[in-house]
Amino acid sequence: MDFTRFETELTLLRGTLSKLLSDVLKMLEDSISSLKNKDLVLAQMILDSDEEIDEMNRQIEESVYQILARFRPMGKDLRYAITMIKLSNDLERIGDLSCNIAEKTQQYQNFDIYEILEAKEINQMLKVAIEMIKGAYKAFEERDVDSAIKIWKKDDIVDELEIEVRKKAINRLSDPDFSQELVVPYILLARDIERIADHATNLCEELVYIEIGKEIINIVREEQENK
Amino acid sequence: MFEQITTEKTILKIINFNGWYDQKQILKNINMDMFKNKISAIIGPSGCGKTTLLRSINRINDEIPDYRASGEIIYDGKNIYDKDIDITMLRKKIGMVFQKPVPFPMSIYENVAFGLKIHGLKDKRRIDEIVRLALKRAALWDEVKDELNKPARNLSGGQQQRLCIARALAVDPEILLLDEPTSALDPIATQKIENLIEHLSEDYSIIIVTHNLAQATRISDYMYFMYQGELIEWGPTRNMVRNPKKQLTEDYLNGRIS
Amino acid sequence: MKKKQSVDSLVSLIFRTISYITFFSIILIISIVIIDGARFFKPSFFFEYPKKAMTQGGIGPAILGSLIMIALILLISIPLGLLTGVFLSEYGSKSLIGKIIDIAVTSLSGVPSIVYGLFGLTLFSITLGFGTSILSGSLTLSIMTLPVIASSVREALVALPRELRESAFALGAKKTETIFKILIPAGKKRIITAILIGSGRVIGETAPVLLTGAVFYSTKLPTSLLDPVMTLPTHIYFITMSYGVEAQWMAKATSSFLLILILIIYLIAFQIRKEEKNV
Repeated sequence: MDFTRFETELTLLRGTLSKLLSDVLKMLEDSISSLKNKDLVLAQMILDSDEEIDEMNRQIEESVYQILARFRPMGKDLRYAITMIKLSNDLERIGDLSCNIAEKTQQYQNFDIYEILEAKEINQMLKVAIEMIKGAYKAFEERDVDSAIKIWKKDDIVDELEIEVRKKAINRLSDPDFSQELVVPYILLARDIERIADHATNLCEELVYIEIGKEIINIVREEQENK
Repeated sequence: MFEQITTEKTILKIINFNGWYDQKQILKNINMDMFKNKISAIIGPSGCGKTTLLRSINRINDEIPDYRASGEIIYDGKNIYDKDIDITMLRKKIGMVFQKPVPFPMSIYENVAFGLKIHGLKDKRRIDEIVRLALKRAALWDEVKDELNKPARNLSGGQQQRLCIARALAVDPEILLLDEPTSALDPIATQKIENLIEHLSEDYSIIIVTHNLAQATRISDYMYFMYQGELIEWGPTRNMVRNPKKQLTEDYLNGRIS
Repeated sequence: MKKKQSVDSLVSLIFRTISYITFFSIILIISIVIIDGARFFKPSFFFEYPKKAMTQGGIGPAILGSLIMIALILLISIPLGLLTGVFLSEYGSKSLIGKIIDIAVTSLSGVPSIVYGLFGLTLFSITLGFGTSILSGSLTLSIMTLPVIASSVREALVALPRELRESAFALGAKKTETIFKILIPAGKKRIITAILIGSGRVIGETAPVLLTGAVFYSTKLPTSLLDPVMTLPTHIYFITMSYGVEAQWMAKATSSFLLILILIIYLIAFQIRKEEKNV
């Protein structure tokens, strides 16, 4: 192979992160599907795989330690190394949150949460959250800064949706047809998804920072000033 | 992800090795293993004995009248300090490149061919081929291919050092000993040589002495830390930078001793 | 501040003046000798025998004689000097025999040339029976040149970086191979320079040749090593000591020629040394 030890270490790092990204994405999709289909087996598999996710996170950290100690990177390489840890942690958190959702499959197996899942806000949020993570993955693979910024802006949508969910939930409390025991799962689920979206937003911020050393928030502000 | 020592092949084993210049003991009871196709860096502050150790591996210290050694260095199944070892063959298999690039007073071609000719190779076509291959391996061919007959002296410092590497590679060694190969060079030439060394480790086992710690951590697979004649600690580089076992090692790595 | 400056420039001025005076005096002497004699140069001067009691003719045989002597001297002293120098540098510097040779080589350079002449006379001409001959003369002068060449070879080799030898050894070369294929070629320029300077000096040596090799006149060219020979410096001596005013033109012309020859040799030597420094 034609790589120096430094390049090898970087490649290893990127590869592990890539795998972590795709594994976490799958975990999220699976957790939603397990909830919708009341698939307890799938839910358990998701919970079991959390350990692997943690292990990959640790490997990524270790790689970064090696890179910093041995190769003293500067500039972009240094940003890259440090931000990789952040990326990895955010992904690991998304993994944990997906586990939360999988747990809900277990917790609410006897409930009919169909109504919650059909709620358009929840669906919207889910859709956007998954889009964000997929988009972040693509942006990472293709080093696409513009896509990352676009995705980042969608976080506002998710936040608004979550507020909607809460309002509705509070309203529903006074609705006699609505089973009260569904309110809490409704709110909790919305919160989990909102958090997932939050971490996905972080992913975008980190990606952009690695590529161009600037923070999205400053870029967006500049855009608005120029308008 | 972490390299397992047990899957790597030992190429050199140093056992209870001691070295003296006259009455002064320079090397104290050194014990270590070195592995095939890896870059092994011997590090330590000035005067710790690392160069003496390196020079004991190809027995170039024999040329120094006051030097005495005891202990064993096992290579290819034999102790290289045995009475019946053929030094010429030993030095063919274990090559050396020095800190100061010293081209011979001849053309570039003749420099690289020198080792071949003294080992008896006469076939001109074979020599041409090996010279070309060695220069390619040393990443020098493209720069000198049209000027093989010009004096080697005219090359720049970095080129001269690559020539010395080509010269050593021409005789097809198994191990390459490098004594601070970049300390006399500017940063760009240094980087070229470091890249070269990393590529060479695919085909050769490399043992490098360097006082440049960053260089050692950048390119080595194993590090051997020496201090005042003793081997304090050795192991895979990635382990040593993360968890040095001895406080002395940690102090050296963090620049608290020099 | 100003006072120091003026003292400084005064001293500098004094040094410069002295140097210029010295320099110009030397140039003056050399120029006078050369020009004074060069006016007698013509082709016949270089090829003919001296005739009519040195009042006519040329110094052909003397030129030939000097050249033969130099050739023989170099033939003898270069190989011996080389080997001695190599021994001192590569083998023996710390052993007892090495130290003895070292001292000998250094001291031999200080011996006055007439003493060499006497030694040569005694050993070569008388004891070994070579008589007054090219052989005696060249052997004697070789003993003079030998230490010069040996020291300079030794110095040239010792100046070479340790890594040069070690690189050769590290490839598996034996000591002799390293010395002859690498070290001597590496020190080539310095050695050649030293040989040239040594030759330049010995071509003008008078006393030793006087006692062992030269005659003031020979009718025929030397045919064997045991024949005596005319040389340039001895020729000058003979003319000035034994001949009259009308012959002095030849002495002047010979001096001029000899000096030019030596200057050329030194100039070549310096040119080579300058080349080496530029590398």
